[in-house]
Amino acid sequence: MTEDSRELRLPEELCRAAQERYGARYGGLEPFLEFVLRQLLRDDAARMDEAEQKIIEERLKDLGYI
Amino acid sequence: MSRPRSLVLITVDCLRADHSGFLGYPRPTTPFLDSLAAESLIFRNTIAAGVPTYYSFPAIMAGRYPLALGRDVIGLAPGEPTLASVLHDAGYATGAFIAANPYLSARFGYAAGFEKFEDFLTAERGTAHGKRAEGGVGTRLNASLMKFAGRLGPLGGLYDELYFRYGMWRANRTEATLDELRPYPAANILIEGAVKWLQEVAGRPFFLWLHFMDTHLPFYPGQAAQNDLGVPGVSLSRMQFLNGYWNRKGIARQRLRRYREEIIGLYDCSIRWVDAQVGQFVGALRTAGIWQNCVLALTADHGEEFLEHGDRFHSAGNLHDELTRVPLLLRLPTGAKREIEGPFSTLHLPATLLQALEVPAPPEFRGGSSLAKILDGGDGQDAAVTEGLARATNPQRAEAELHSRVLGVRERRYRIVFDFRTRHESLYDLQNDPQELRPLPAGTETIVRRRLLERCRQHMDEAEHRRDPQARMNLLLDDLRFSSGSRS
Repeated sequence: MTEDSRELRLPEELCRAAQERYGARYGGLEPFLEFVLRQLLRDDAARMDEAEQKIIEERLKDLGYI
Repeated sequence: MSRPRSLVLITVDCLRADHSGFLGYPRPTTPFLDSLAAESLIFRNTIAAGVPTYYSFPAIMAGRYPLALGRDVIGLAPGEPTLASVLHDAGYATGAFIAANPYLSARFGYAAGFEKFEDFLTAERGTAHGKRAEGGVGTRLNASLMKFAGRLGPLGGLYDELYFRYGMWRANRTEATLDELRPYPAANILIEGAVKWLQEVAGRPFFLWLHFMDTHLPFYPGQAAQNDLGVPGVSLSRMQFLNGYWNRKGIARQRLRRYREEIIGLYDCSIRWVDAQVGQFVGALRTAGIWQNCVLALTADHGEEFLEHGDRFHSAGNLHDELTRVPLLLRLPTGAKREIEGPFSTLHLPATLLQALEVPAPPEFRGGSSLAKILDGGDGQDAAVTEGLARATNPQRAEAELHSRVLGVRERRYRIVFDFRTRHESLYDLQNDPQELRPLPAGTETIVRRRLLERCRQHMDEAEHRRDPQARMNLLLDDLRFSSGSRS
């Protein structure tokens, strides 16, 4: 295990099934799992929501309403 | 209530409130619905929570705002409570007949909770519409000629016009029927399926959802609807020409304006056709002895623009009334009749319908019902919010996912639209400027402006705090399953 990666233990039958179904398309089980986690963790949308919340507050301040 | 009431929800794609007879449109587009309005609740200022279809329906079906699970996902999340799932769990027979709108398909979660879900998405439909000379030498030659003609000023426009008319002439050489030209099944086809299904579930309370696309471009109303509306008969080839012309890309507004009234004529005839079909359907419910115990709600996902603000169709960035104000007619078995003036957001529709059926709404529904208050003489809400992503023309493309939000708050007299890209708002006085063409100058109506901006802020605060992470994850996983090919 290197500093920037982690070893995981997963049920063999699950790994085999995922490898069979997605391995070819994603270049292997590990790249597939990495892709899935990155998709689930993407937070661009949440950051845009936070930024827009600030935009509204700034507008209210600019107009002297708060 | 001794016997559970049944529910029919009819949603009509692109149906504008201001083109509905029972909401004051001078043309007789909805005579049947006008007569039904005499025994119904009419919500005169119903505002869609999102535009277009994929941003509007999360409110109608699941009582939440379109961006509530994140702007990078669309559709209903697996396991998310919906009108269908709640009624299914309450023992209702649930059926849906959707006129081939892909954004309302099982792919986007809309089949959940329905025992019968027919979306009519087949490959054969609508191949006759708008056939042009595609591909091959003709198109490459045309592209080269267009480039050359474009350098000669007005000659470019003239050449484009001539090529378009040539393309339409070639396309129209083969006879096609109305059904062959329509990319969506007409309302009568859905109704036929629905009536058959109702016979199969006879004796059970039911929830039936019909989504009609007859009022969505291209418009191909039959001769009967044209005659009924008193519109001069439009031939099939003329309809093909008008639809093709109106759908052209990169064409100047002045050229489109030449055909605007004719296109609106076709649109109004399509509404008339839908109205007649709804009349037929209610007749079938009466014959079956079902009508007297039925709640019927008719509304739309959004309206349609005909150049009111310089554009066509129903783009996500336009939050003006021509797109966001939709009809809502709610007929209860008691025949309660009222007109509700205050804004009513479609966010509250599913909870309201559940209250009409005396079925509790799930806590996940963001909207609530004020039906009891309305029946007691109260009015709608103070304000209705609409949100969307500007310029998100195809939400399935990754680059469209992260556009800036546009947010609208509509009160009875005022509307504000906040564009997060420009970081500025436009405020309209709907009493003095009902067409929303003259935003009030900056620095005016400060009390109103502040109130509506505060409402925008409140919406953003609630959006952040009420996000359901599990529902979001379920939707992301569903997207992954679909994109990886393991779910079609």
